[in-house]
Amino acid sequence: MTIPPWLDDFLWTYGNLVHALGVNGLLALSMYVVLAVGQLSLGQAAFMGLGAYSSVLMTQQLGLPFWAVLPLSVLAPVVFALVIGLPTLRLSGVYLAIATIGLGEVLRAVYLNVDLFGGALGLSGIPERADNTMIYGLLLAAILALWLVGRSGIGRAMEAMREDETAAAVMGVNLLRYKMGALVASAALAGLAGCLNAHVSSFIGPGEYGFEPAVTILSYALLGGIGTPIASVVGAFILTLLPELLRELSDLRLVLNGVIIVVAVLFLPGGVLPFRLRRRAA
Amino acid sequence: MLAQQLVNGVLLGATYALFALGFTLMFGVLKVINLTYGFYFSAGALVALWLVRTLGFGIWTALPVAAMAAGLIAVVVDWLLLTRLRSAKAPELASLMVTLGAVLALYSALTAWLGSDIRRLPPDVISGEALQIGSVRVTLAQLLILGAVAILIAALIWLLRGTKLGLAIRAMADRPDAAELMGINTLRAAAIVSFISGCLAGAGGVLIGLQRNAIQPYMGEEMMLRGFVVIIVGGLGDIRGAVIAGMLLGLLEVMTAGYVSSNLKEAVAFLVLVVVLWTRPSGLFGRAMTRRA
Amino acid sequence: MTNLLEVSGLTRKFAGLVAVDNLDMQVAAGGIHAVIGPNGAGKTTLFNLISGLLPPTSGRIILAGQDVTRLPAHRRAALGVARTFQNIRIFGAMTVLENVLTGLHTTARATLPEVIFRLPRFRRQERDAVAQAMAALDLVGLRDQANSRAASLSYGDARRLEIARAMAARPRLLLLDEPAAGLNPAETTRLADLVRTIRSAGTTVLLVEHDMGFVMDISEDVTVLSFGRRIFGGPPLAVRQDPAVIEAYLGHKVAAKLAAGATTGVRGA
Repeated sequence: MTIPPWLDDFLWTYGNLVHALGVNGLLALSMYVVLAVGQLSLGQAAFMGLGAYSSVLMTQQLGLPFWAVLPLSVLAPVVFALVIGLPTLRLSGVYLAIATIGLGEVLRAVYLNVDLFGGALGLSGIPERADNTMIYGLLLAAILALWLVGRSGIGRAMEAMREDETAAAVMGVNLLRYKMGALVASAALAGLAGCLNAHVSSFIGPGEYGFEPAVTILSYALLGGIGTPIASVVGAFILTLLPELLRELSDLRLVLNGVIIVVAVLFLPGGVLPFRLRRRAA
Repeated sequence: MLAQQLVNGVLLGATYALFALGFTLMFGVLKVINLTYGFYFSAGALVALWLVRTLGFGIWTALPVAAMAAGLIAVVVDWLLLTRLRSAKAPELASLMVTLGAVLALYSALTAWLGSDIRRLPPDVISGEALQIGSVRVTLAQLLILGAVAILIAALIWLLRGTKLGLAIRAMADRPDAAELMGINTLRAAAIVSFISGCLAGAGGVLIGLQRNAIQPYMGEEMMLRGFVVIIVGGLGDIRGAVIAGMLLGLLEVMTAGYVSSNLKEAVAFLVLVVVLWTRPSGLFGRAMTRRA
Repeated sequence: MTNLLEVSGLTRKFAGLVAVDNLDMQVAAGGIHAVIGPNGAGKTTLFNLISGLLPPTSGRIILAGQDVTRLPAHRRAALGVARTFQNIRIFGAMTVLENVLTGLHTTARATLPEVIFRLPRFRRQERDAVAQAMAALDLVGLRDQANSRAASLSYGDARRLEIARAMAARPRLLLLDEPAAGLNPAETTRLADLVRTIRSAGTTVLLVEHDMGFVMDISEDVTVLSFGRRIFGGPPLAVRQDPAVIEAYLGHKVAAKLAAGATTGVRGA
């Protein structure tokens, strides 16, 4: 049986969109984790890029099997998260935001200028090792884990520090440890998303992990809201589907993402799904 | 060789210092890391380009007009986005996120409208002559830019230290609540500070666009990393710190490119940032507040 | 009686201003100790130093024989220091019960895998925490509102919730920063009973308060601060007669009036 060309085209586009939904859902969760402790990281795209580049090098240069590559793809993002997080998380929140924007900018320059990373051409010919089962399995596992953590003393401590750091510290919450834990978890999630995305798309380039994707990831979480992990994933789904449904919008996709952030912060602080988790495991 | 590198470093550093001036002023007084700052830089350069190419302005008349246009945009953006958050005493990250969203929307709208091609000023807009002093070669354009940077910095310091307006601005920077009680109209002062910062950004955009002869919508965004590094190394809100840190960064980048590797040049700023955050988070001069959480 | 808290040579400066100046103070275990003084005397700064929210410029803070001067706030919480704030700082978006559960943070032992996989130790811990939190709500009389949103509480209830949250983990030392501020006389009387109950349950209470009637009524020991210095330390009855206190704290006019009243009071006793 031969597949007619139009159906083939359609499936090809559709397949990419399905991948993108899952990957963006993971990225939204990685943003959620940091926002949930009252911090702002703009390094989610950079962490994703670190996961993507390091995993592709492991696949192509070292010839490692994917079952080893996927877990190892969290390494590079986590190391960078520690290097940036440890000094900045002791300070006021603007420092983490600035340092993570800086990380994104400098990594883009590094990918562009270092031969190992393929320069402006990026890395291509990546074997297709990931699939929807892996992407959506991980997405569901991450949602479930974050949901269960949210409904526990850890979730209460996270919400407490988001509301009032001083009061949370007096309750005995180790602020630095929680912030660091959240940033590391977030970097790991973004790294996994990067690895999966790279191994379904055959090509990665330096432009995919810069400033615009970083802000776009923030808009996912802010549109959905950070009351529950699912809300931020819904935000990612909406913002991934919208430009596909309204083709005219796709040129103005980034303008829309920017406006969504402004509107969400000024008028919709809870996002479109402003429900919050009950913080009790009963 | 070394002398030429030092001169190049100072020239580059002066542009970083110029870019960071308004940025650090905005933070020092309004207590917001305003990420739209880079946009005023791009706006200044693009307005100057339009004035010169379409209306036939000379570059030195286009400079103040473009700077003021950028200043006005800054006032409008600040008023639209931040007045509400300021009066609600919203957490600083809310303001940061709003300006982040705004800057993405502004840049993408501008790019959708103008495209992302690099535009150039006409070649005859500034003299291409060069001075040769010993082994050091400096173009006239570079000297003019350095002079303009020095004048702008001096003007800003005079404004802050030597005028009544400056006194009000400094009072607001130190004790915003007390300033309000003292009868300073903080709404107006915020507008004035936004205007001055926007003007500085716009002037920076024109001068740096002139020096590199490459103007495009995202040019301000590309300066932001340097801007962050300079204001943190100099101490958040510290004007003189920003000038010194800008010069140091320029020198360091030129030296790295000259003696180590030009690939590493892009990473220098970030390495400096990480080292400073690990060792001296309140900035090299340690005067500005640490702002511990 | 042994001292639960000993503060020696404690100094905190803010950009030239000395908020707490070379302060020596002892808080007896099992007592109710009040810190009073005019506005700006450094009372809240003292609380911030004791709870670990501010590092001191110099001096030492000893809690139950252990030097805690360099410990951050969360470590002191684990050692049994709890507090409330002058401007109530409850977590408004949470329910009343969740607020109190947050106060039990230091008792949590379950690890992240135990939490995610809902292993027995975590489930037991959560069950115990809810029981303990309900007991703390009983203490302040807020059990019925356990599932209301904290932000919806009345002012007086919010104050009591803050006390319940601080008491949830049975602290050794409870710091109350102006607990009677904004309460009506009936509420203040209930508060006095509550503070006595807390003390008899074994928690030492250190409080800052402006309501003199309340302070005289419940405290056994009073420290008076003025410009960051201790100008008096002793039983409440003696405070009223101390000329330095009357001068510093009440000012000339009121001092004259009150001195007469205090003398009568003593004679009557």
